[in-house]
Amino acid sequence: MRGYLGYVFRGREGLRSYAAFMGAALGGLFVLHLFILIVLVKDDYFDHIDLMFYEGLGSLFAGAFFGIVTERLMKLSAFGGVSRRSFIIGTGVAGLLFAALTSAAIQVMYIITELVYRLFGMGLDCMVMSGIGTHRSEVAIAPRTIIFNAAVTFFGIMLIYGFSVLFVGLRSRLRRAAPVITGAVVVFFGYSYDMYAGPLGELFGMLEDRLMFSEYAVAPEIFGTAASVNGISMTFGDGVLAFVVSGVLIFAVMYAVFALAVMRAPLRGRG
Amino acid sequence: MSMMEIRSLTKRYGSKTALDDVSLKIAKGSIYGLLGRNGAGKTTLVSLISNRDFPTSGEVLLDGANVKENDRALKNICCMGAEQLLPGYMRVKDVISSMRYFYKNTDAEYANALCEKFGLDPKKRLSRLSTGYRTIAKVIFAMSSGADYIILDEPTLGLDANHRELLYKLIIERFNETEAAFVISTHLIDECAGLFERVFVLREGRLIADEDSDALRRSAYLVEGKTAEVDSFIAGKKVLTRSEVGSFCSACVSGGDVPSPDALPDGLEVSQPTLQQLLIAMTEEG
Repeated sequence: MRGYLGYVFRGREGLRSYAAFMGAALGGLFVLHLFILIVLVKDDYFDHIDLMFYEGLGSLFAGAFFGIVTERLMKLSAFGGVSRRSFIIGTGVAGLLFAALTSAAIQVMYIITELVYRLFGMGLDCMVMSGIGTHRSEVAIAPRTIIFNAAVTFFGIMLIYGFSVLFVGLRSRLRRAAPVITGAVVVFFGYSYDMYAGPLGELFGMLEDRLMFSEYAVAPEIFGTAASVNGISMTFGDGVLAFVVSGVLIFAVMYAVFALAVMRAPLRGRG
Repeated sequence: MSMMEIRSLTKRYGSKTALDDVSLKIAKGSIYGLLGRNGAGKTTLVSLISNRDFPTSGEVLLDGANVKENDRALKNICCMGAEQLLPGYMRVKDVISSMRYFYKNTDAEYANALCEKFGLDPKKRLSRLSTGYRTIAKVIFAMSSGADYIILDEPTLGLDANHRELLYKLIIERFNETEAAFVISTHLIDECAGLFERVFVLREGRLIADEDSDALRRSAYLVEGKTAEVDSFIAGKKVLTRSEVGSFCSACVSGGDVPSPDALPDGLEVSQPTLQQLLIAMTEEG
């Protein structure tokens, strides 16, 4: 286990590969933001814009890259005499830490981009800011905003990581059925989110309420502190915790399926 | 002495039995041959030993501990298979430097020396290597792993004669240095025969021989001559295989001492079969 974790964090195919992929993706998104800034700066109508590319596309890229790295690590661990149990535990730990680091990296990129936008008299809304809309210059890069946005981003990354490991796990066991089943799970999550259907819909609805009301908690000096949903008082800490815990739980459920698939999958490479 | 014990290992894929109740022992400090025809179950056995696949029943023990999900035991076993587990874009030198995370006794210096001996460029990506060099790379990774049990499945795949000779020499040198157990699965039996101290022969998933290499060869003899005379000589004896070309016949007889030439009817010749001839006789269908 120690050797495997050492490889994941210091070796060639773990964090290093993931960071290289993510660095390129975030760099690309930064360039995209600059391009949009150049287009918008000519237009006097805009003073800030809700893009959320870092949180949305960034999470999608993060999930895809984590899937790629997980599949490579699975093959390497089979080559290197790592038991499936160590691989599963080690990769799960790595997933949580990678997601936290990615979430932090996305916030750093957001702040840098926001500062560049400010140089041109513009502003870039992160996910949390997009709901507040006014007085943005005071709170756009305040620590509370960034921490809350990091929690929301972490939730998104964990969700996409979950889809990703589900796909990798099913592919190792069921081969061609994996895209169909994973696709169905993604559609089910999307349906639950859109229609507030079933327990997942309830969860998404609750998180959305928390996001909305906790946005007030992000900037109490502007919006006040009293906010409640269905009689439940919302605080900044509640919101952060709700997103982080929900993200970990959703990931854990899909990771459990991945673990079950890997525990019964023969590890073979190309012939 | 460290010992790997395979107990009643069976692997079924649906209705097909790939490995059927195989039991054998592998001790550190010996070189073993794992022989058999295509589909005999050699690669399945290697996959089960390395915990890459699951047995239907039976177990693999290393010094008494089951290797299943056992990191400590698996660290002592390095299996080189014909399959490509390593990502193709990885460079040979990257794999060598990564090995130390998995096998703590990895000898990177030795691996680099082997690359030089085989003329393998360590900066090359695995996907850019020819079949032969890809095999060489995998053999280098396994031999430099420092594991106590090194299992090489088809280590001569795609290798030219010069590289094969070099490989045999290096295996003997490495064996003398480390005293690791080497298990070599190959179809080039006569070329490797000199390496093996003991051989395991699989036929249709069953272990049909687990013997000292020389004793196995001495357990049979070839009789050649005219068909009628050979047939008369082998009547009542245990014949492993018999082939006829025109009026000429050759038979491999199992058991008993090799008859002296004086005791043979005129026109018949006896000889000791090579390991390959014996294997063909033992594993021929029908």
